[in-house]
Amino acid sequence: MLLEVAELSVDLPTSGGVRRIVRSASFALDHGQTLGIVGESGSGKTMTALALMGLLPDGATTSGAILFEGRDLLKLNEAQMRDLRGDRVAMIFQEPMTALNPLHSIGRQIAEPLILHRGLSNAAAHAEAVRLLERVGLPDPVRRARAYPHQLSGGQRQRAMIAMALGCAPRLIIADEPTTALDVTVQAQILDLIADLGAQSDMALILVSHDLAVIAQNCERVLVMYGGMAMESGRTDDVLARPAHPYTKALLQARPRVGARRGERLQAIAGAAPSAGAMPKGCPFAGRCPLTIAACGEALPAPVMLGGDHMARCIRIDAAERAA
Amino acid sequence: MLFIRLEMAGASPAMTMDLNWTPTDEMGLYLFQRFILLLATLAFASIVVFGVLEILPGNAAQVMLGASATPETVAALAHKLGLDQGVIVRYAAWIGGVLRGDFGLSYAYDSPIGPLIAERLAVSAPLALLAMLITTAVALAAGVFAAQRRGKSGDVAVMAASQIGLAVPNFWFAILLVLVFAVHWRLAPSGGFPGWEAGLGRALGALILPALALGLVQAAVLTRVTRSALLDVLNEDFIRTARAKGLSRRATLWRHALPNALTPILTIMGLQFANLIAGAIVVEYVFTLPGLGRLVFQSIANRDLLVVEDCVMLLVAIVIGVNFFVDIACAAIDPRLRRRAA
Repeated sequence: MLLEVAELSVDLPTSGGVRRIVRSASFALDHGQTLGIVGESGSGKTMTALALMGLLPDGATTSGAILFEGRDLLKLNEAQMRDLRGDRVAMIFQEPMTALNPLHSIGRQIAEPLILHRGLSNAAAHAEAVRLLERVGLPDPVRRARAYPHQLSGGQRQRAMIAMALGCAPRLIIADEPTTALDVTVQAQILDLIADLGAQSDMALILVSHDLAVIAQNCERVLVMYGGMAMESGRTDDVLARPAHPYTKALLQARPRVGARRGERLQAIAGAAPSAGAMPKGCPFAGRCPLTIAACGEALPAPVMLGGDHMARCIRIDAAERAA
Repeated sequence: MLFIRLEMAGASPAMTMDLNWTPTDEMGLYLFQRFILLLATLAFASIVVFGVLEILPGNAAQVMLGASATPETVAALAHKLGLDQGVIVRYAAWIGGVLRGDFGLSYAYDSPIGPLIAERLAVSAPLALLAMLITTAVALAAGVFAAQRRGKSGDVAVMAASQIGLAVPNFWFAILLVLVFAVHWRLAPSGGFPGWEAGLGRALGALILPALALGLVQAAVLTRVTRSALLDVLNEDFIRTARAKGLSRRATLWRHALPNALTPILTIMGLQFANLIAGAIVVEYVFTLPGLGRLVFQSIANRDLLVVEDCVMLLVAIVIGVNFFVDIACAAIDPRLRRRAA
């Protein structure tokens, strides 16, 4: 296994006290595999990704284990984490406008990790940056390398961001909502690019998104998060074909479908997600779930294995299956 | 123009922190535009400065000599000052003289104004530079220190100290410095200026307390500007990107955060420097320094209008010039600011 996350919890200090943002998340990923983490905003998916990078906000505390290439990242010191970041694990961020330094040329920003981790000279790193820009499909890469972020379009900036992440041929790429800020037509190109490049170099990919369709198209495996908890996980085909958790089902029904009749209403999930401050003791979805019984509010539901590695955390799975 | 471009290009490696700036045609065009604007602003300012004295009631000779002067003496002085000629002719004569380095004659000192100003500037300019150096060193260090420790005790201490700095007037602080360092410990002279011919050490020694009085008080403002500019930048997404590349906090701060915080810092520094040249007058009085501020003040008291006119024009030129260099420096740092040129 390349990555094994076991019982990862993240606590974040806020003005209203310490909040548990991620609750006992577990998942695993092998070389070259793709995992999608799906959830609403506030579900803890971005914090899970940042925990893997060791870039949680100041004051955050973690428990559990993140085994990457056999080492527990939560036990590494800052200098050891720095050696991994940008080299073995790289991250692609959501907003390519603000995620690039406006004062540095594109080439320079791509060259930076190469100089840092590969010890390349400035000239060699810059030449490599041009090659990387070519690889991510930017026309006229020599000129683009000299350009500044404000001179590129959103899609071009995101390609540059991908080039930056690919530079040191990391074993794991974490893409946090990489296409949310882009036009729909550009979205598909960028996702294909990430998938292709990952497959070429046998890189594992974690794609974080609120969009189930994006994950369905690009990831072999999926992890559905809600209220800081991994509600359901497994092979994407299994989870989408036979969703076991009521939340996953609701999520699938809430999707707009191409070909649906005009005027047909989307199935919104009633109620609102609990805030991290008011997180219930039991299942975080209990307040919105049509199948809730008293026991749901009493304790965190234990993971239920459903064949293969299809897992769901719900004590009402039998009822959910009957309801489907 | 070409000369200035080359000079800026040559200065860039030392001037930029870690910006890897290469001069481009875009930058050249921006410089050219700013330079034309600089000349236009100076020309406009000279008309305003000249015009203000034109619209004084009565004529300048009358103002200089006071109400008790006889019409004959007033007429004689008016002729000497060239006041009997037309407005355009007089403006042309004044500005032509200034451009040639001939600032005219002082009525009160009965000597050429050029050397008079140069002599004062030899005190005021080094004083302003020294004070600015103190301001910059203290404010950048304290501002960066505080921003890195946001909300912790170090930050609170820096903010408290800067609050005191904001509340204390610089002349009061100057008197305090005199009491402690000149009177009590006798480390520095309490006032006066021996002149540069007395040696660099003695001259600088006479300037150090006034420079501290001006610089430290001013550093309070710049510390706060530095801290808040840096805190804004540290929240930006690209800081997280830099860390995700594997850069240390320190490298992220110097390479990515500080250059992005520099535009507001430089802008405030430009204003402060201009203020130091013209606004050091109270501190010059406390230390009995023969600076430019005192020359202006005395000339106003003496009704030495041509000196006032020349000094005001000089101060205006310094303010405009400093702003010009701040604009150029900001554009050298931030490629987005050069876009206006295109």
